[in-house]
Amino acid sequence: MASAPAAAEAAPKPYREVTFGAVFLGVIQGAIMTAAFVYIGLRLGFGLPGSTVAAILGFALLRGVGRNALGIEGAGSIVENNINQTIASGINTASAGVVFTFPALLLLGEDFDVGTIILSAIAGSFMGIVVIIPLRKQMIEIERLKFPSGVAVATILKSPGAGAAKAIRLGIGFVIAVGITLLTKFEVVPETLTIGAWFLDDPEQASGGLGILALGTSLSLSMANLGAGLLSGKGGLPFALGGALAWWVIAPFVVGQGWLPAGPDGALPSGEALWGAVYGAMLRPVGIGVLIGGALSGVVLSFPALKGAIKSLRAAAKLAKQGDAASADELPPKVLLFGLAGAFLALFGVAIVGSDGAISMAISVAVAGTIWLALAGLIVAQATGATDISPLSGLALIAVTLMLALTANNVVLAITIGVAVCVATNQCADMMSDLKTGHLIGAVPRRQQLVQFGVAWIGPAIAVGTVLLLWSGGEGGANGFGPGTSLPAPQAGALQGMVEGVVSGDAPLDKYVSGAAIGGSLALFPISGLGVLVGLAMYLPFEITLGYGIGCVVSMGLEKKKGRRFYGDYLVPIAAGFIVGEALTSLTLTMIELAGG
Amino acid sequence: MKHLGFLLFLGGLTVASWYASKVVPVPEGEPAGPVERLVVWGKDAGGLFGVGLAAMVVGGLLARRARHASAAVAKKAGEGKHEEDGVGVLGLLDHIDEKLAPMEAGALPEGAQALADTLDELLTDTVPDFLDHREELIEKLGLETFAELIGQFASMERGAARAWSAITDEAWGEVGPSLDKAKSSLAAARDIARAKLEA
Repeated sequence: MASAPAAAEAAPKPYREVTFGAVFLGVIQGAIMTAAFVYIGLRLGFGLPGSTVAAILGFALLRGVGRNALGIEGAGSIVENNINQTIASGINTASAGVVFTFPALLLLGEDFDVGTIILSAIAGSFMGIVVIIPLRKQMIEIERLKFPSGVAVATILKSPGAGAAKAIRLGIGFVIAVGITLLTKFEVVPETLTIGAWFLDDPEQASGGLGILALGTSLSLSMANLGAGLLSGKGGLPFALGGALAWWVIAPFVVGQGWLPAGPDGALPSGEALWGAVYGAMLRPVGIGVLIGGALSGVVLSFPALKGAIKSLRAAAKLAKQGDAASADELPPKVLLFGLAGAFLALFGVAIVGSDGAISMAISVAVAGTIWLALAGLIVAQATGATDISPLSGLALIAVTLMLALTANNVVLAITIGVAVCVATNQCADMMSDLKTGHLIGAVPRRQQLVQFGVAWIGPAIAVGTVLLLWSGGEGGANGFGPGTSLPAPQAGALQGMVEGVVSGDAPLDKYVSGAAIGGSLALFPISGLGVLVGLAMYLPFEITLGYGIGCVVSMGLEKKKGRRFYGDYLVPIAAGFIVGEALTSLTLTMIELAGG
Repeated sequence: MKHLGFLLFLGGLTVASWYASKVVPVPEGEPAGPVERLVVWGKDAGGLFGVGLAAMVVGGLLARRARHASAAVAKKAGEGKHEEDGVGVLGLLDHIDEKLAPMEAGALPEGAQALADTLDELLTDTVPDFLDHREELIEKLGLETFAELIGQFASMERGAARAWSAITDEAWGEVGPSLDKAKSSLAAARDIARAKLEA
């Protein structure tokens, strides 16, 4: 707090929120992170979170340099730094969407138009923000989902005023996470505790129901995962129970019955191959179906709430028109309508180019693409809101499969639309998390959404450009990444394999359809979002779900015993420290590793 | 009925998931496209999968019905006294208003720390207390009205959070308008609840 007399004499200063400094810093950070994360994605096969890095650098540069070195009064306010991190993460979020999909086209050796790919990625980036307009009210205000990463970033942003005790707790969580992450990365302790395998004489020979029960029971030593569970508490419990159902009930029974796909020699798999078969051919595809069915029926059942959300958006827009500044928090619903129409037209344009002018195919691709995109946005928003985990790869696979079916196996068009869907869904998850952060610090959602609209084109353009640059780094100006190179592009390789499988008729439609029926039925039980949570639990290995579940149970127990205040004062800062500590350590180690070749 | 519904639902989910996961190979020599896989799986596992699914649907509906029934009983038992004893919708909102109404920006910056602490308490304790009654409020108001009410309520939360942030940033000029916004949004939420309850 300020020294009272000095501050009392000063004239009220405007509260800095959307400023040139915040936008400039956000764009620079976002652009650098996009290029870097594309490289990391092609090399290691995973994306990294950018919000925490941007928020911490924002404090150093906006507050430290802006206020102290440049003498800008009030620079680096909490809401200004929030705009900086919203922009930075909004730009770099395109990297994961592009890296997962677009490189597959290069690996498959297809001819494509770069302009169409960039247009598709940019369209996806805008659509992700549009879809969020009604979902923000639904997920953040009505359903009150936790969005653990959003809470973690808010905790960082609020740290200057949260008091020394909370800052110390945040620091303790941070240090513990850094320590554990370093221990796992340097293999002092394993990243995953294979708990069940401890009870097996020879895990490689494990078979049968008990074998898969043991092989499936493992625990990831991810502090971010534990932190997400601590923040979610009771709301995340169905996700953890879904994992237990998948790996302790379903898997042992189906393996015990011998319902597995046989290996090339006709024998049933054992050991790691058994785990791979149960996960890859059974639980994961059924989980994807459950996710879709759960999301679809969730839309139907929450229709009155969505109607109420749109009604209140309309009311706010009306009041804002009448000059009620307090109601100018929301983007009007017509932005949603124009955005969806724009999305349809953009996908139609991409489809027309990709299908050599076949109008009926282009219309069906645009309609299906727009609907799938909205549904995928809903799934991702609900999944990240409850668990902090985004089923991005599964949704992209479904998008490409759907498009291959609609376009009679036009691989280029299918992947081009897949790029849009993947970028859009990642944008949804990021925007939702940023809006949760904004909600907790008192930011204006409309401003966050508008700045994100303003920069949504930057990330896709940089990401596609970086992929092409790296591809041209190979011999003869091609093959710069892929198997056998220093950039193996594992995610794009998986998509490439899937496309080849679908084209040869290998899609597990039975698993998707039966899973969707289960997901639809799960929505009938009176727990909000149950279908998506159980689907996500089946889609993921149990090591993640179990760690998260332990966090949920610990959180519930402590809150019950110590009271709600304990949750806010202790669990939130410690869990935020876990999430931030692991993210920053992983990022730093990755950069060091890449710099060292 | 609640327990029966839950058991049926869980049993149905287990059986349906077992049979959904079953990999049924397409007989050799036959085309093995996605549709053919679906047909072959349906013939082999579809029957028991359908039984599981039906149990889930029945169990889910029973659980929903039980919840509605218990909510109706609670509502009937509380009719006429909820609003007076402060545990009804308006009572809960009044409780927040009691905390929010005395907050003024006039004494800043002298009383900044005390105001920030009070706002923190409101957002950390009082607001979650209100949100604990979410299901009860949906039952009472209907989902659509609840969505409208909670939109205003969220606006109140953002106003209070913004006032807290502004105090931390020593942006004293922002604190008053943010508190005013929080108060007017809370009043709007009360109006929505009152209109519905009086209808």
